[in-house]
Amino acid sequence: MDVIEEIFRDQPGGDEQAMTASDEGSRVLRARLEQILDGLREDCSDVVGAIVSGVDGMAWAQRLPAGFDQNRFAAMSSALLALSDNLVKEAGEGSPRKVLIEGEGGNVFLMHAGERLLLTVFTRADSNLGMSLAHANHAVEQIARLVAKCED
Amino acid sequence: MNGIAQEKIIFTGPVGAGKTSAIAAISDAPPVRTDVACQGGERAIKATTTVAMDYSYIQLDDGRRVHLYGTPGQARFDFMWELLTRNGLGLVLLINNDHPEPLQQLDFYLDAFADFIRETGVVIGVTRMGIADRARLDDYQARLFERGQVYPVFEIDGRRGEDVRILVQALLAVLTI
Amino acid sequence: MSNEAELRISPVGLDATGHKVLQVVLALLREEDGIPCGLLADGDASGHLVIVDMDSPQGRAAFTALAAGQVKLLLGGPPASGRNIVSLAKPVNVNALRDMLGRICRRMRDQLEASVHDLPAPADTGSSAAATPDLLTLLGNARREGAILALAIDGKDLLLVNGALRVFAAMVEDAETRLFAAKPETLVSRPLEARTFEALTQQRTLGALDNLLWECALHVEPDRLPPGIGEETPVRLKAWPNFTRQGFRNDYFRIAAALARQPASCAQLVEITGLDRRSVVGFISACDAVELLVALPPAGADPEKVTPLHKAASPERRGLLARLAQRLGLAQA
Repeated sequence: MDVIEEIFRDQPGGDEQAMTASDEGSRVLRARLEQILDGLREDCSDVVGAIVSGVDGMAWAQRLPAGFDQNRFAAMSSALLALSDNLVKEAGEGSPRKVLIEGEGGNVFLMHAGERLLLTVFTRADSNLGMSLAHANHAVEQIARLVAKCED
Repeated sequence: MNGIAQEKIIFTGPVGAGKTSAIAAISDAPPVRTDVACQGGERAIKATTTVAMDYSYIQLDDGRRVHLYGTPGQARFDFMWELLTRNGLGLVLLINNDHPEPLQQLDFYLDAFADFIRETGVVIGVTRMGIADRARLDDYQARLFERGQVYPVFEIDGRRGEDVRILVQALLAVLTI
Repeated sequence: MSNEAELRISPVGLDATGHKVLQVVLALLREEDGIPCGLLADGDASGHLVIVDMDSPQGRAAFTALAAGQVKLLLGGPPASGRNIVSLAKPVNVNALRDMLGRICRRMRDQLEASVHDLPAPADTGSSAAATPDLLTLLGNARREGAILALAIDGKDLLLVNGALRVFAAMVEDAETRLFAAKPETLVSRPLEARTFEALTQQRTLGALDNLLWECALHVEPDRLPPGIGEETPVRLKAWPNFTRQGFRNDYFRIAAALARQPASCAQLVEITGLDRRSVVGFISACDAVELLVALPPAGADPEKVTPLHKAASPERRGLLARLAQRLGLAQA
């Protein structure tokens, strides 16, 4: 059967399930990404959850609290980051780095992780911003290295 | 409180239907875009996809602007659909006839935007007809009739300003009758 | 009984059995009941009384085009009622048909003798069997009946039409222009075999018949409504015409928008849209020619198939939309 037909057959609106790995390579990649996210949470107690997603809004790997819909967050993150990128470029401030959202109940960081991925990190409200960011940066570097290796 | 009414027309429809091109064909400035590379299975449909919105406008002679917004196509971005259609004038729905099930797409988007359509109005443009004729115009017309919704549905080339203007002309007629 | 009072009966869409039964019954009516009645050619729907087989597509199609004043005896199909409509279930029994026809004919005969004005004819004149059909009617009928024919002027074939395939072929350079400009009396149409059509159009480009019909309606700009549709006949739009690929008058958008919402008559549309009657007639004729329109029984609109009403635009919005139309170079209706 045609691949496209398979994807779209039951899902008008073109939505796919979060990338359910259909081959060994993808499964391994997802497992490795999850390890990085586990490391992030272990190293930084302020982090309550994190998700790695594609710039196109599809979820790749996640360590999120119960009740968080990874697909929605993946989509929203990509939209926000894309709009933020536009804003920053329009303001002539060079390439965008991160988006920080301060909420009443917690904070969210959005950042590019390599060309095709982004990392979204959810932290507690009273978190040490500097520390959380540093750990998030570290995670981003690990992700970028991992993806580079996979693409070889 | 409504705030300042935004006069805007929203373009929606599935991936590859030509929303971005259609806006570019009639707007007065190059659209702001939030296109990214497609990954996974969607790559086969299109190289890039809109993740937040397209934005441009038409400048009126009294200085006002009618804003044109293009939504992302995939259902995972439906929060954008809600955001973008708030207080809008009407909807332009573009359907990609080259898709395996274009009539299913028609049903899906008409249902997804039903509330907004009820408040305002919709016109439907079918793009990429004649490339692979999954459905003919009669089929779209029959489906709309079955739904009890005789909305305008025209065959269009999304890059042709003339075609997009005719869509808008029909939308204006529907909004002012 | 004078001969002038003979009732004309139209058989439409009847099958072989139906025809046989009808012949027997009419013979009985004429010879034994003394009712003069004549049978028109099959498919000629211009009689006082029309007997329609509602199980046939031809019958169903013809039914919608019948005039309010014609008495319709429906065979088969769902039981129908309404002014001048009566149904008979199938299989049709000779006695039942004779009885029903007898009663109808006697009643109609009395009316006929009483007043010439009771002669049921389509609301607008010119479409009885004797009148010369104009180009739009010829093409429309070909489409409806799936007929294949050649249209000629002065013995020269200008256009070949295949109603079954919904295509046409121009046989000379400016065929369409000449046909649109010609007087109806000069048009000669003759039926063709499917093979002949194919052979003659081998080297020709085939066009969509609907596009031709639409262009014809736009060009001819009828000032009378199609047969079967009167000033007060409610009509329903089945779909918007494809304005990006077919011609339009700017008024048409407004009329379509009004008619798509809910059925309306020509008179009502003129009122709702505030447009010239000619535009409304033009639109109705064009849509009728390509079967985008259905005439409804005078009983009224079908309440289920009503496109939901949008909220009316405020005056400020209307002003803005008018400016937008101007800016985009769209003429405003």
